[in-house]
Amino acid sequence: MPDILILDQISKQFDQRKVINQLSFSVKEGEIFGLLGPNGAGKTTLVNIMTGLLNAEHGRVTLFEKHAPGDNFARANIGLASQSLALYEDLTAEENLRFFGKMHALEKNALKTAVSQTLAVVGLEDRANQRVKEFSGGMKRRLNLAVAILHKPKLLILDEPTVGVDPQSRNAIMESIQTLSDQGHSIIYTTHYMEEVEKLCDRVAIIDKGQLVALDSVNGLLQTHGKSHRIRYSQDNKVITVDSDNPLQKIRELLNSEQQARISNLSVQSPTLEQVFLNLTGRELRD
Amino acid sequence: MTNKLLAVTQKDLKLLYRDKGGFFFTFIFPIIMAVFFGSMMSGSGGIKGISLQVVDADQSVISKAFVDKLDAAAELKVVLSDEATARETVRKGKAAAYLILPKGFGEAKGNLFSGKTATVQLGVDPKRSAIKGLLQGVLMSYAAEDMQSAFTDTSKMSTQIDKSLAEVRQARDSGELGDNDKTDRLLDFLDNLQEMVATDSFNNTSNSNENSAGNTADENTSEENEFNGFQPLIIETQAITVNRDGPPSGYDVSFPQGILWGILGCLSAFSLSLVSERNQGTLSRLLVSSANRSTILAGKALACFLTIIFIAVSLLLLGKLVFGIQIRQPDLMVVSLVAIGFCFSGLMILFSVISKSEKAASGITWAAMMLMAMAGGGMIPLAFMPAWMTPVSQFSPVKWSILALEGPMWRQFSLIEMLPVVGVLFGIGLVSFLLGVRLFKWQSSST
Repeated sequence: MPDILILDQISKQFDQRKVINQLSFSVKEGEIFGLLGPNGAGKTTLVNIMTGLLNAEHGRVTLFEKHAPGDNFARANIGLASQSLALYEDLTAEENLRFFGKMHALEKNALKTAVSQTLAVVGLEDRANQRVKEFSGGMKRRLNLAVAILHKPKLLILDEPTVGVDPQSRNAIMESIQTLSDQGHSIIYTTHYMEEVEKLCDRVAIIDKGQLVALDSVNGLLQTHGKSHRIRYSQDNKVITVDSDNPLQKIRELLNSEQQARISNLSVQSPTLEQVFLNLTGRELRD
Repeated sequence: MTNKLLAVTQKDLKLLYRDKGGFFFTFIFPIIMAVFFGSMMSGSGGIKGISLQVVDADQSVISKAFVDKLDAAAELKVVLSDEATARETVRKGKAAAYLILPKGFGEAKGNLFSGKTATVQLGVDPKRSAIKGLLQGVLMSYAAEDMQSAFTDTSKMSTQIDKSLAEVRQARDSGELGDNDKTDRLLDFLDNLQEMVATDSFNNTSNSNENSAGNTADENTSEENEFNGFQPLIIETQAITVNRDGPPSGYDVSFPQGILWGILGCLSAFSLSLVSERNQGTLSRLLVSSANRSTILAGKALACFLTIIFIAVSLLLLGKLVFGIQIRQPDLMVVSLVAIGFCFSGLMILFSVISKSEKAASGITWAAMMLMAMAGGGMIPLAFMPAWMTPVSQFSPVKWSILALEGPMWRQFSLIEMLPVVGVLFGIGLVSFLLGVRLFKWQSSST
């Protein structure tokens, strides 16, 4: 698969503070690419650079093989669902879609078809004529996604699209994203929910302090960076958790010890993406 | 590009219409302002208090009594004056009309059987036919009242008859009256009348004829005929052209002010809209779409422009149809409205771009608007401002906008006089818009 996006040695700073520091990676056509990082890692800045909302001070961004962010072709082929709900609350769902459709040069029949199809994808057909301000948080998130996919972009950038929604809406959004991927859209997906990444993403980049820390498939990251297994057991009515790089050795030690008779409910958990994330980015608070 | 521009315009108009606060300050508040201040500046309206300059050239007891009667009338606001001042005051439009009671007024009015009718001169602008009609009616009714009073007062009547008998006899004796037969019959009639008055039987007869006397007064205002002696008053109207160096009514001042307040409300609403879009993320979404920055700003400016035109046309129509404001040059008014719309749409773009947050936008816009309104006559009419404010007001687009509105209304500006006014407005709009677009692009590229 060809690369749909290439970031080459990108740097960006605000007030002498480097937010992105010589960052490079590429996204392949048709894949769901996860972008993980703690708060302040530079994810949103990176998204803004990819879409042309911000200019990088150094480095080069290439979209669709030969285009630069912000040029007409790139803008016509990128869909952005930003972290904030970029919707007009006093307009109805359909009016929002019709307006943004017109801004993407969709007209008449094409616009009408796109609006009804998109409303169906996000499950809001029966709420088309309701004003957005009357929507629940989950419905707004789904509409936010609908606006991003309305013009059938080749590259869809989703910046924390499931923040603050209930499990039902989150599930609906994730199913929609999977459907879009199946239809051939390339997707860049930023989130703090590791299970979403594990479930959806083909490859994941973890960035911290504006730098790329790791880039691989979920399994690759687990194998490379997921060293510790988590061993959990009960002893004297207490639950004890132990992390170990060699779980078999640890279990043998426990079973051969004098405590053996008092141990029950022994389980071993494989490394998770969250553990990998914390191993790579540290445990100190970032806010 | 045009479709995208129109889509932004349509969306912004929808949002303004659905925003109750914005709608109130843009459309309702200006109407309240215009009507409230218009009614304050126009007095209580109606025919009550028509300003009338009265010249009593006769200075007789009867003329003074008539002036006092007019002065006490609720319909009139009488100011005593000399003839030259009265004409000048009406010509300047500071009084609705003047009334001259010429020499001999008292004698004619006091001598019922002399064959003469009291004559007055009423000076009024021929265009103000309603005022003219009202004044004629009022004057005639008071004169008729005097006549009725004379007929029903037996002592006055008796004196009048004695006086008339003496005058007729003197004329007969000196040979002035040729037909002795007719003269004798007239003398007999007067003798009989005197007898009736003396026996107090006259009152009963005159009361029964009250209505017909009133009709005579109404129907004969200026024609000479053989019954002139029984006309209450002859009113000679004199046409006087009013030089319009003042507004015809308070509403002609308050409606341009109201329009400006509506425009300022519109300016505020649209200035905030761009900042809101920036904060809620829709601007980013628009910038990522196929629409370019100039299209987005132009779409917003067009929405603002159309709203301004709508406000102005609505208020002018309301003012004309309900409050009688005058638009003497509609073609120049169209030019004025376009210039005003262009000016404030440009300013809106500039204000919206220089603000980073909604609070800042609100503060900057309202502060600028208050200064512009205060300096430009949006709060106090320019005519009532102290002299030192005049040079300051030159810098306020509100001042130029009010002039642009008043010019085709009552100032009767010529096209040449209008050119600098609309030129300034177009200039402010163009510079503001270009500056706003430049700043918007610079902000985007520098982040």
